[in-house]
Amino acid sequence: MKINIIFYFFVIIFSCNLYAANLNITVVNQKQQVIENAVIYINEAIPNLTKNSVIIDQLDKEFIPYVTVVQKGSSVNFPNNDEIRHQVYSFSKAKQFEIPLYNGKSSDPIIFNNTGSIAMACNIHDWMSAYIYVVDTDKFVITDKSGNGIIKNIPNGSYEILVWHPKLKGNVKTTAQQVTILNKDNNLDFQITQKPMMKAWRAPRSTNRRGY
Amino acid sequence: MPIQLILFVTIRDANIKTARTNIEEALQVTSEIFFSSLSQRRDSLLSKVRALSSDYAFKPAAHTNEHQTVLSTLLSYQSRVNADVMLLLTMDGQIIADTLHPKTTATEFYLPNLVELAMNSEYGEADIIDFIDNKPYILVAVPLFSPEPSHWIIMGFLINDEFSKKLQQTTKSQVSILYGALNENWRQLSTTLNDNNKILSESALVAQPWSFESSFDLVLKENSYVSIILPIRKSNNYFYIALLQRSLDKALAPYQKLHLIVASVFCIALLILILGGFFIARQISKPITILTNGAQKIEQGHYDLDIKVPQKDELGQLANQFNSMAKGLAERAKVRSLLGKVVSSAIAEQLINKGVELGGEERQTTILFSDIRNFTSMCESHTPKEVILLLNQLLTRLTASIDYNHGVVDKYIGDAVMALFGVPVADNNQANNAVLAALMMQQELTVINKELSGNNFPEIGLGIGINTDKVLAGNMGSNTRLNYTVIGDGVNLSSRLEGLTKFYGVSILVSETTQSHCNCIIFREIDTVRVKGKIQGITVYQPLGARNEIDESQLYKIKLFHDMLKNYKQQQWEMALNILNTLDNIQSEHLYKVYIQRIEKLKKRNSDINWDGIYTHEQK
Repeated sequence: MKINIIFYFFVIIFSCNLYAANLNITVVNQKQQVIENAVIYINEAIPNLTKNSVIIDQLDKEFIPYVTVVQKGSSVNFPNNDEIRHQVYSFSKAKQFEIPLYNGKSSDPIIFNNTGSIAMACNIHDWMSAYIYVVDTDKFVITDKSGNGIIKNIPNGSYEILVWHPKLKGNVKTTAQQVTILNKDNNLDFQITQKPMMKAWRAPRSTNRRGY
Repeated sequence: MPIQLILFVTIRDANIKTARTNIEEALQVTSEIFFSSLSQRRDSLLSKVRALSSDYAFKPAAHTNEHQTVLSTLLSYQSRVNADVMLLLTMDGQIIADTLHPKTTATEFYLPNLVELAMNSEYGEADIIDFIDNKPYILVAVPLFSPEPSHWIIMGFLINDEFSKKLQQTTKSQVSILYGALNENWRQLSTTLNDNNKILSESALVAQPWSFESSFDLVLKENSYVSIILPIRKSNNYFYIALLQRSLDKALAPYQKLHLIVASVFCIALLILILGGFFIARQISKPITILTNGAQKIEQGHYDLDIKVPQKDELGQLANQFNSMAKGLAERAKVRSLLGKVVSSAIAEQLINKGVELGGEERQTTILFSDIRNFTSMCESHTPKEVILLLNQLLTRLTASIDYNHGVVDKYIGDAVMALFGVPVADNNQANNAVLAALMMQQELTVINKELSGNNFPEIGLGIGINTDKVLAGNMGSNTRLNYTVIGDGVNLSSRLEGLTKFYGVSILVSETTQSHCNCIIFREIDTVRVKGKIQGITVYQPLGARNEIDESQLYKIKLFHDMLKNYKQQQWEMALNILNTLDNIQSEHLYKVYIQRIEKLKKRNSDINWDGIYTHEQK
């Protein structure tokens, strides 16, 4: 009987989550359009962060997913599910790498030890691009199609929340928001400024433009 | 001919116009080709840079951001694509390397607007024309995606004559690229024009009014061009323009050939026309000249024509008709001539003009009868041939005297002649003319006698009687054969008077009617006679000559004779005889003897109060 009482006590305690809360975030751009694939994370380094192994697929000459958040120190595998070879590379500061032409499973996973954004692409297929964002926290989320994301179980405390997006204009710090979590779910709205993204030239375009 | 000339000029104008229109149309089409060609060149240029931006050997090279590495990479690629300049910039426009200025690095790009244009475009690409070190370049900027835009790759091609030449190959026109502002001098960047024309094209664009994309004539040093100006780029107030030109002379070359042909045809046609005209003129004018000459000959009375026009056309027919006409006229003239011989010319004329109608009219006529004396005896002593010859000669000359005095010979009766005055052509002076004719005939006879005396012919005498009276004149005879003549007592009288000449020993006797109508002739009254078949006495006279031809002695003798007649009529025989003897003493005449004998006979008779002094001639 005593055991039962203790059990229910814990259940109640955990179900009420008295020492932590969720953060509901919506990200829009300067035009109030909801932004998908925005990375929202708590800017607070967690020591001894779990090192995961993440997979970024290459299917139908696209990287899947487009944006991947990787905890610092984790490794990423780039299995090639196409019948053709790809050559994945990055010249980003956070991690520069190049996986020579391969198919099937790549030989070695790439380990990301520096935080920041990594733009990567295929050297053969210009339109194939994807982003890895390396964070040193486990409190992060990527917005869905409706621009929403929930960072769950944030312990009570005061935090700086940052948003990153492949088209973000400027530094992540410019849109940083402070939030205090106290046993209660919070809602947070972000408005980021997107830079006009140049489209990579894909296929021959017909042009009627006059000029040389 | 003028029509042909107009045609020639019109064709020529039309050709030039067509050539011009063709060139203008061609230039319009060429404009499109030009722009399309430019567009292709730009795309080709972009493609080259894009290819580089996707080159995964280039990417790591670019990402080294090392000046020398990048520079050598750019130089290598530049020579690979035959470009004239290449640069690599950072995204914020700092030069990493510049092939035109190999030492330049880490400085601002000198054409910031190119980067700015590219930055604001959808694909991050831009193209401009601009000057680097005062040389014109076509420049493009393309971002280097790795995979995010990390650098600007700039590539440029120099605009030089080679550039124009490539455009000339596709446009088939002279291509010049110029730079400048409107109404200012233009700077020629490149051209396909030859050196002589090249010099002028810059200044010609200032002198010549023009507007974009409409053709106009531009006369350069050597050639005239139909030209069109196309705007390529505008930056501020400055334009990059393309001057496309097609030579009008060249376009007209095929037409020149046509002109030559048309001109030749024109000349040949002219020649044919002249020769043809000449030939036709000859064909027409020659027969006409022949016909005209023929007509003139006919006018002059020469009917014996045979006009020969060998043609078988209307003119030939006309010539044949002309010959027939001449023949007809000849026959008519022959008839007239014969008629004039058979009858007198005046009668012949009357017959021809008024037609031959049976019947006549009463007309005052003077009838002259002449008869040759002693002709019968002369016939006996000469051959008939000689006689006829003499008679014809005599009658011809006597007839001439009659004709001369407007008389007509009515008929020849053997050696006698009957002549009419006042018919058929009326003549108010008929009596005078008849007497003058008679006098002329007598004079003619004197001449003839002189001639005859040399030929052993005896002297010929001529008796002439003249009377004036109203007689019936006209064509008389049968329907088939007739004569123009006169009938009546007056005719008989003149015949009688002719007969009396022998009796009185005078050559001419006229009746008192005739005498009374003659004012200018001196007469001698001969006698008052009663001819056979007439009750009334008629005084007969002898014409002696025109008043101015008679001298005083003759007039005196006439006066004496007339005095004698006065005494004779008063039966003063002695007085009459005295005068007669006086006259006979002056110059003997048969007439005086006639009277002397007559008076001697009368003296033997007793004087008769009823004696009227008229002498009756019993003989015919």
